[in-house]
Amino acid sequence: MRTAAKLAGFILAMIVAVLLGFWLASYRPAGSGAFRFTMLNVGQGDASVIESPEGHVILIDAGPAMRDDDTGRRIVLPYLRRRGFNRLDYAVLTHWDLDHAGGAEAIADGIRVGALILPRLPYRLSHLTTTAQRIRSAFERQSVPVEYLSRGDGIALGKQVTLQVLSPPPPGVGWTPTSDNDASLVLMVRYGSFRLLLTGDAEAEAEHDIIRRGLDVRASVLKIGHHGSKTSTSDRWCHAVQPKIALISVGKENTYGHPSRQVLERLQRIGSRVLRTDRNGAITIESNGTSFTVRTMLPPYNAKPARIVIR
Amino acid sequence: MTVTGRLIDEPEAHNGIHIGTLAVGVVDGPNGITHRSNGLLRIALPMDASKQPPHIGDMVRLRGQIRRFRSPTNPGESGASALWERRGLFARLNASGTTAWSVIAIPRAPHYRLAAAALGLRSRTNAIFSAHMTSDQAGLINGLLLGGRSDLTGRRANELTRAGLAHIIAASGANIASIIGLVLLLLRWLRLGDRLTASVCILAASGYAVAAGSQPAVVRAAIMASIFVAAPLFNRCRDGASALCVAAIVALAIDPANIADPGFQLSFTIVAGMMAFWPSWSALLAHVLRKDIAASRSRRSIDIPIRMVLNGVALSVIAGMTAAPITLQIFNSAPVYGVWANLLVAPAVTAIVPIALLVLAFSHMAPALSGLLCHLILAPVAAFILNTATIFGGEPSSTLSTPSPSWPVVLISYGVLGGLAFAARRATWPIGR
Repeated sequence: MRTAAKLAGFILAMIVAVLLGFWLASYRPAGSGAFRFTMLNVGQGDASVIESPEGHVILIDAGPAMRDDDTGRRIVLPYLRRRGFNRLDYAVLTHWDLDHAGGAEAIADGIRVGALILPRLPYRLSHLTTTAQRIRSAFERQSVPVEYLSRGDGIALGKQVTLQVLSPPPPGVGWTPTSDNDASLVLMVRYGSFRLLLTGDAEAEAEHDIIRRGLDVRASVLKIGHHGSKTSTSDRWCHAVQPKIALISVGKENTYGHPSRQVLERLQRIGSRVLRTDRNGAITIESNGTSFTVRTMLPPYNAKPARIVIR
Repeated sequence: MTVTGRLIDEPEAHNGIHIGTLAVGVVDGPNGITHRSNGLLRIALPMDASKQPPHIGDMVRLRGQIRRFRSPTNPGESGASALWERRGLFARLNASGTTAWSVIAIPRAPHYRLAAAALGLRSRTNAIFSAHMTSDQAGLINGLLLGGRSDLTGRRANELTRAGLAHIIAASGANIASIIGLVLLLLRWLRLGDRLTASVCILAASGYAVAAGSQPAVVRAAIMASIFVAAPLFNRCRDGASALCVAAIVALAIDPANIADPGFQLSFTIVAGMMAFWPSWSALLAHVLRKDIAASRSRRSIDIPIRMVLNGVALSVIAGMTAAPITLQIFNSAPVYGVWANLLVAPAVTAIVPIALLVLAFSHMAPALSGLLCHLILAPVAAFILNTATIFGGEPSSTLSTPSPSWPVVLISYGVLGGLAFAARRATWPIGR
């Protein structure tokens, strides 16, 4: 009888040790206590992760997947795993271009997603390419609900962080986007006094429409639209947003000539500090709601992050 | 800069480029001076339809610019530089175009011929299996037999990893045991002497290690098996711990960079874990089952299946427990259903290697019989394993992401596991006797 008890104790101790080990290794507090935005270096494409102070996580675009290089699988998913996330509250695809949505299939297969957020498109843009259909099917396979958002909608990430949709407008209301890029989701992220403006690949027309509507677009940090293409980030837009930091997600030696010289000059004129993923690597911004710090994987802010106070 | 050297690994085809490692022999500098060199370079050769692809052991001449590996550009990324620097590689050279590289027709050294023959054997075995089953099933059987995931699609390989079954396509101890078992059976039937039998077994284990690509885990298993087979001939007892230590010394003497190889680390820690925990487990299990059988004779018929199931669970738990600190450190994730997936496929995996060997043996002598074995046994079993992997590893929730524990935490974990093993041995010692 004593031996049987010992055997049971031994098995129990081993199982408890394994479970305890997994629990200890996977334990993370319900949030790091700070707002964190990370723009990953996925080459010529976009993928960013927002973490709320309470531990909610949103992925904004999933990086490019072209030929046999899927950055969703190679970069985004390992990053999420390394941060210890087992679930995304939302996966947002600003639009269906492969440099933004290509990696989403790997995300759907690799991590649980609370909901997929897509732009509510006008009828003429609602036809999906074969790749887009495949990506949407991957989310459907995992029974991920899909939500379509347009101007006026919003997402609450816990109690402190909100994402407000500035564009595209609801179909049939005012200006109608004529290209996939212009129909990108433009999101204003707010945490205390900190504001972060994410623009997908929205071009000048979409920017002008947002300004025309009189929406408040001032932001401490601006993710430059369309990888710094000269068709985006107009002079009016730069003056309206007045960002302290401008982030450009762009591939090294890309064939499109991104970012364009004109855009860089516009940003320089308004005194924005430009950080690019091709030169600075991934860029992480942490905020406590009244100030924020900027950290880059490569110089200038790799050794010592820059701290900026929001006035 | 023009560099001439020998390819020391089989180049991988990726995005229209052959990527491999070059042992540099001669460097023609920009000033026209030729230097002899003995460094290593990671090279990239753009594919050219008019050229034969380069292979391991080929002498390659290429023109391009030598650059350092890029630093990691994303948080938590291990980075090519760290990975290659551990293996003595500090720079890369990309050929500046399809015309900027050529293979020089010089015979390969014997060891490269051996490695090329092993690769050729791998593609031939895959062709034999592929003739009778789907490419995924054939890839799995080839992986089970010779290790590696190169014959599987990325999705299948991912599912195996996420179900905690990646180890079944890593050639190691179980495969060596199957091969030695078959060889012993044959030699006993032929009534050969002990010395000859041992020599043939050692040759078979070594040959298999070469055929399986000489990965650290299979080299470890081959060395341990050879020591076990040879020990009685020298009037020595078969001691697992000593054999493991000798295997570690030999594997590190062959290539000291092995110490940084996850395969090497996992192989040795899992075997050490088995050695530490198994005696306590089997002593307790034997004692309890004996007692139960004494109490009720009707239980005897179910003794064997109970023993098999319990041993399977214990094996999975011990392997998972001892591998966990390293896998969490390197891969940041743990398979949630690993124990159950392993429990289901373990009997199938044990049976499949000897049958796959028989299929290969009969493929020339009796192709019909070989085909029949494939259709009746290998294909259904492979389908069963692949489906199990899909069920247990196909869902996003099948892996648990974890923050990476630091190396001190990993070492402390092994200290705790060592303590647990010691306590278990002490607790079960009287029973074991």
